[in-house]
Amino acid sequence: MRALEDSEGLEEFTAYFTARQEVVRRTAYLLCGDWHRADDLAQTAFVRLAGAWHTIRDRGALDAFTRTCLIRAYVADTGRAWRRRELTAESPPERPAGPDDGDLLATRLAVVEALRTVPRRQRAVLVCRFYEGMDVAETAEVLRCSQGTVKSQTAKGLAALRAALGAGYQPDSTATRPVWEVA
Amino acid sequence: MDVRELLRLAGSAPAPQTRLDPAELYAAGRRRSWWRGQRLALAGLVSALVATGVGATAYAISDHARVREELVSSTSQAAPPPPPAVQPLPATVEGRRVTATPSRAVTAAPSSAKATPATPAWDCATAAIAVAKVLSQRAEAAAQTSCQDGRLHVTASLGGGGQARLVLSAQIEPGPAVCPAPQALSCEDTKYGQLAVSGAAEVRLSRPDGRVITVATRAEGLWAGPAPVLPVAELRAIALALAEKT
Repeated sequence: MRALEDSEGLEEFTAYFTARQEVVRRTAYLLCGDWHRADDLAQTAFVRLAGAWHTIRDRGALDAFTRTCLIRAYVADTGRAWRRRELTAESPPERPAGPDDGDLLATRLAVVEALRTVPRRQRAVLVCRFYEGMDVAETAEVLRCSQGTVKSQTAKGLAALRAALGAGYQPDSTATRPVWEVA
Repeated sequence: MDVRELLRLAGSAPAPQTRLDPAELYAAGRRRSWWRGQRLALAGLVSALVATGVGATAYAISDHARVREELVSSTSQAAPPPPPAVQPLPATVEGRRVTATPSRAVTAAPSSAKATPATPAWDCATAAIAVAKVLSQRAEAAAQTSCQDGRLHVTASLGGGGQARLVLSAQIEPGPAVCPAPQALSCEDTKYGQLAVSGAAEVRLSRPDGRVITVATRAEGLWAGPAPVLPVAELRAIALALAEKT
């Protein structure tokens, strides 16, 4: 238990948490669509990061480690039966804390609502590919699946998102294609 | 609108105040890591114990099977195999070099089941070694011994003068009492049994166990005058010595 009392590691971890917790929470929010659950997922990711803090020698890999922990925690957590049952309840999206533009607010709420209707693994693929900017190989490694699965999940996720957004937010087909398809 | 822009717009929503505390997260992470190490160590210990138990069980099963096979093979044979360190004496041993001490132990033929440890059965092979040892003090060359059907025959050359030589033969075999016997010239009681002198070249001694020791000499070769013989006193001494040693 001596490792619990090291102040140097705590200071480094606190500095990293302060700098990155907002990004991690937002990614978690996109995954689950709920700020409370986003905090839970972020907490899980940061606890795992703290547990492996002394084993990660490359500080440049902290972001990738935290992101992987976050997405895997989301996939594992939403795969549980009790969590799936809880998600069946309809809940309104979070209201903004401050003043916001009306159109942007409406669009944001619509996108969050549409993401909620996308199946969890497809949603995770969409967030990895189009929010985190990961390529197919990185997404496949994070989700522990094949690259072909990532591609198919991407296509299905985009179709589900397009269907959920409706005609008002129909994205451009060429613009919504993944990078590997355009290239 | 591009999907990236949509997601970026959704992710840019104003976030409420977080309830996460880095110090608590760090402590929780370190505790988790510590307990995980404990679980790994415990799992390793359990794995080692299980592996040891499995190995011991497998060894016990294999050893039990081996012992069982040995028991089955030993009970299926008519007679138990002799001990590996002791070699049985052949039925007939010829050309044995007479030495003061035998080079190795010699076992007898399997004794009957009725024999008791207090009174071991007469061992022909052991008696042959003892007789050869006794005769080595008098013989000039190797003694020839043979055991057949519990009868011991020993032949030894005693040497002689010129081209003649005396050959001493001794026999130990079951037989009737030598005294009284019509061909016996004289009988006497010794501590080993009754001793009878049959002629000038033969002495017979009947022991209480029913075996008769016969010691005789004969002359071979060429000689002039009376045939060379061994004195009766020496024959008697040899017979008594054989009775004592066998």
